[in-house]
Amino acid sequence: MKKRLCSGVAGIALAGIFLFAAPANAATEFGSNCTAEEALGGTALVSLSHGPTSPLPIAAPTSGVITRWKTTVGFEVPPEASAIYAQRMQVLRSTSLPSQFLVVGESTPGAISTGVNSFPTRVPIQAGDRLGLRGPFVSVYCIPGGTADVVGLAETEGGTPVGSAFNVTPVPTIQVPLAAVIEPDADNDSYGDETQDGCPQSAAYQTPCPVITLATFSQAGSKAVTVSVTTSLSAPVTVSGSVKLNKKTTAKLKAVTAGVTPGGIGKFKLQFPSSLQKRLNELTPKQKLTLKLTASAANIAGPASTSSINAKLKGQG
Amino acid sequence: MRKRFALGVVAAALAGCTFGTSGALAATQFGDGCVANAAESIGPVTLFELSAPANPLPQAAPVSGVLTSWRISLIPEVPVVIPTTLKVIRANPAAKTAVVIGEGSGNVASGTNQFNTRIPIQAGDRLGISGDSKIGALYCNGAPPSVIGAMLNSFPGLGPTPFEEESRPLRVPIVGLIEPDVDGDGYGDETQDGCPQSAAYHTPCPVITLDTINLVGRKAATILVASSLTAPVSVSGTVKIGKGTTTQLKAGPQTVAPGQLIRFKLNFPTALKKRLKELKPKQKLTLNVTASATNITGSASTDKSNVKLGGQG
Repeated sequence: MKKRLCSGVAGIALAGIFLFAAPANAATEFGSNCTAEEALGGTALVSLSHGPTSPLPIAAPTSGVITRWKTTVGFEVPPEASAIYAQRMQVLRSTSLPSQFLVVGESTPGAISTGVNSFPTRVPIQAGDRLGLRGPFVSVYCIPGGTADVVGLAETEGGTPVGSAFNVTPVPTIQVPLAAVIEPDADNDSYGDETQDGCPQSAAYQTPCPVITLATFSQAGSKAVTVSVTTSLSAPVTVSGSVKLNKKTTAKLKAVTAGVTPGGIGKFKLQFPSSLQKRLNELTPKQKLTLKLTASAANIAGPASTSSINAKLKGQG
Repeated sequence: MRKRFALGVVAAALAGCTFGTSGALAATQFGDGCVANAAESIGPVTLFELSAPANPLPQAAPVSGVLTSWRISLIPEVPVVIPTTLKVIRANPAAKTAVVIGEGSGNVASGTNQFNTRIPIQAGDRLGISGDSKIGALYCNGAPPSVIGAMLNSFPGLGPTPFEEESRPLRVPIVGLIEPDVDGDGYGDETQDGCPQSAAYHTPCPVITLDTINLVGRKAATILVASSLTAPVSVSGTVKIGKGTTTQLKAGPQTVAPGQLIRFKLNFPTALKKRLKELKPKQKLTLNVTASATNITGSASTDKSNVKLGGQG
């Protein structure tokens, strides 16, 4: 039942193997950069083992998100046949059965032409998962020829959609010509932290992490100051204050923390410490101390946002 | 090379074709509601109707919007499920090319099969069908002939693909449901978009929350306003100054963004200032303050508060 659809340059040397440059960041490449020489209809292919000509790991060395996959085709693909030779990357996970794989993710099909075909994608992957290749019509493969090069082949006319499992038959001397780049995904939002996720610290955002804006207003009383705070995002806000009582001494007001939501105005009452109260009693109403108030809220990433204001405290003597 | 796979009653008459009824909402149906009774594997091909005299539904999308579901009916007692792919096709009949702008897949069993999807669609787009290489594409077999477009299977992103026009006694058994998409966000306004008024939201439109701080002076009240969403805010006030007379105060509008405290000044009108001078400091009037903003749907959010105005006599 196996139909060999195109041999193009069967037997071609692997001189054209294209290796990704070593990444400067934490992205990880795995799979095989071999050059496809033939194609097979109605099959799903999965890499089982690689010979020494393929230095990349065969299984995902880390968990994360596949952000790019690549297949290199050595045979002639006429432009009008790009769709026929379209390939889809699949992420496959071993099951309890030794020859069975579960399809846990896949890319959209990419039209194939002769040469390097590289496609952006976004497919979560776990360490140990393997790469499979399956076109809507044919699957391409390369023939390194080594006995250690083994592909699991499944004749699956009905397709292998995500969630399905299929059994493979080992076929030696061939490889799946598919390499993929995994990026970390610290917040588990299924976006690669290096090129896809603008805010790797929070699964709630893929655009750049938002920065909290604070606005404050203070009203001083005789024994305390009330600071009103509004924020652009829901966040715990801490309000603190300090007053220079004289050249040497500074009084600190006990900080108060409470949650503030956008559209709400949180009121923070900071009591004057006894040292400040005493000093105010020593001053006439025309004499004033400057109370420095700071409201701060922690951001998802980067430094905390702050808003500082000064309040004049009149003498109470 | 064509292999035809019988489905039990390949030659069944099309008398049993069911057609969708028009929806009570503004959703629009198009395609062909015939009941599939045959499948044909003619290679990796997508079939779509260019014209079908026996089909009462429009073959092309009559309006733009979002394709939110598609359905296929299959004759009874077919013992297998048939993997089927929907292709939304934008054809250029003059150039005899077509582009696949979206696709969906489902396993079709006997009876009516409905599949949800979300594919932005333009008026004039058509529904195509393809199958797997084993069973092939489902179709309705029977006269009179339709003009069918047949193209090599394509997929979104590939670009224009040539198609051939054939007059054949078959119809393409897919009905699509288009919902309006007023805000152009790619979500159907009736079942998928919680906030059809804004492309920024697919969940229910957010409601603005306002809060205020009121500060009283001798000639005016200053109102500090916070808002949960960026919106123009207006502030107004009323004071009963006696003898059945109420005086009005007004400020704004100003745009308030989350994280800002914006000042609105409500100047006291002459009548209020005069009345305050008639009152002793211990006597007070009540200023009722209303801050209001309108959200995306046009519904107003308000924050009401009041503040005492001491007499200035």
